Amino acid sequence: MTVKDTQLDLMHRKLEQHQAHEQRGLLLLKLGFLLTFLLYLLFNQHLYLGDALSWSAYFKDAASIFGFVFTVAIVVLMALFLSWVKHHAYLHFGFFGSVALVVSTVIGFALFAEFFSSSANQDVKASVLVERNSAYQATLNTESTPASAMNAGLITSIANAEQKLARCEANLKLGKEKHCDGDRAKVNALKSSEQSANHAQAQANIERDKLKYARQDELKAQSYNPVILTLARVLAGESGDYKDYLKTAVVLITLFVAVCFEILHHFLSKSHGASMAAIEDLELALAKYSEQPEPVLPSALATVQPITEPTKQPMGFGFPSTRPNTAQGASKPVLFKYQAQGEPETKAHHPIGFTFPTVAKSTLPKPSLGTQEEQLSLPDFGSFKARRDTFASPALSEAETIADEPRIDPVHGLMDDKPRIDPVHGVSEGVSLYPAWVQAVNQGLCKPSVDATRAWIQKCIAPTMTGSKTNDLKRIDLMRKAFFSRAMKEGLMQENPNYRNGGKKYLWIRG
Amino acid sequence: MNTSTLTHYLPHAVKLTALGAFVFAVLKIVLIAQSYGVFVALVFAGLHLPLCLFSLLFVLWFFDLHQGFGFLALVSALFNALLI
Repeated sequence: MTVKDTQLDLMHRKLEQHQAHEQRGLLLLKLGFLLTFLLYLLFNQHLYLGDALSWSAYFKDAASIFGFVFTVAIVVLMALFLSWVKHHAYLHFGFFGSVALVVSTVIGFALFAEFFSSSANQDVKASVLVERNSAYQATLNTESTPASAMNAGLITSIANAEQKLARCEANLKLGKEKHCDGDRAKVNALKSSEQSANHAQAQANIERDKLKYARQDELKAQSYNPVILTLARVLAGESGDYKDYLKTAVVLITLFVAVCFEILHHFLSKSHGASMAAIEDLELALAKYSEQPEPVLPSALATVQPITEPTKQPMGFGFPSTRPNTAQGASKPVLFKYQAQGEPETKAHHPIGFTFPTVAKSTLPKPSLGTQEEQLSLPDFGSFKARRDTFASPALSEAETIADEPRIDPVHGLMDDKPRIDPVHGVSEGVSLYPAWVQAVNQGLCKPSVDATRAWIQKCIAPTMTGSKTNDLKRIDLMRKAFFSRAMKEGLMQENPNYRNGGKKYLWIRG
Repeated sequence: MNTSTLTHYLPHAVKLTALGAFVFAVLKIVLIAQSYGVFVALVFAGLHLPLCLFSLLFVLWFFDLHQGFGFLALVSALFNALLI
């Protein structure tokens, strides 16, 4: 199997992995869309139609039925629209990034709808459970004992005493009795007893009702989910009543679940965008790489560099880089001769996809070379210009092409000793800058100071620009440093041991 | 040695936990349907069962690549299973 076949096989496998990943992500995205639709449907149902148990009121006449159907249509369409908007927004975020306002609106509303419907669902479940609770039903069916049954004997006694008092009063009018005080006192005593008994009965009823309602509340609270009960107890603390925190616990838990769902849903949209980009890049790279001829390995490169897969995904969404290493790893040593010989690599910056070196451009032989000389491809000099400021003037750029630039060794100074510059008249062909600078200093045309040397160099390499207007001060200063370094090494110059601010930092030793 | 063991078993443990949560949720719904009827079971399942399924699939398919979000999905699956 050739290198190209191996490379293509690797890329195909990677493409298949990405496609499988994308299919799973899409399936989850669709499931998320369906869930969002159901959440919005429940939200709208609770908002516009109320609890389903109360819907029987809508079916009384034709007008009510029509209104109900119309509202149901609105609820369904609105849920569909909102869920589509959210789905589309998430897909948009995956491809084009997100806007804070849209994110906060979409996710905020979705969160609100989700925990609204979820908390309502928890209440419905609690009511369903409590209605089917026999203990709760027993508290509802308990009826208080009537007061008349409790005091039947007392009422009879009162009736008898009043009857006796009435006879006594009749006899008193006829003169048969002297007074009826005894009978009257007995009636009063019995009535007082009746009032006391009624009051006690009423108090007992009140207390019993209190206990009954407390028991009902307890049973209602116990019908909530144990997770909600636990959180409510935590929120209430030791002194508080956990029943007062049930609604808060429901909201908090449903909000947490809704936030989890939203985060995962949003992540899926980002993942979808990254997967699609990776698949497109891989397909494009496969198409380009398949059309390229089989690269011939030079004899010096007997071993192929091992292809290393990234063992761990990076942080964040962690999708593979859009510029996999596999294609580059094989193509570099084959196509770039100067790279194989250890020269510095000029990295071309491609935003996405694989990098394919321009083979034809770099291997064209120059006619001036002899047949025995080996042609080495040169780096693209255009990229050197690209590193400069965008404000470079055309005049400066022309004067400062790499071919004209003197090679500078930071340790030994200028590498080219051929004089190419007239110290008096500026730049001329075939003249090097350092000997010219030495000559100019010796002739008194340039002072051996930092500023004067900078100005002299600038005048030589970019005479059209002066002072701080030049865009290449860094390069000029580098040349100045190289000049000084070489001059000190050759004994033409030394640092001033008595240097003070405002004085001469370097001393020129005339030969 | 310990690290490689952990990295080997942790993904399986997480996936198994998420799967267990979903099985628990399904079992709960089945028991409720047997006790109170299908309609009540539907009310109890609500959106928690689909959300549990969503989180389970996320854990199974994405935990190997995105552990952080995978753990979040695991928590979501557990909560949804418990809230039924």
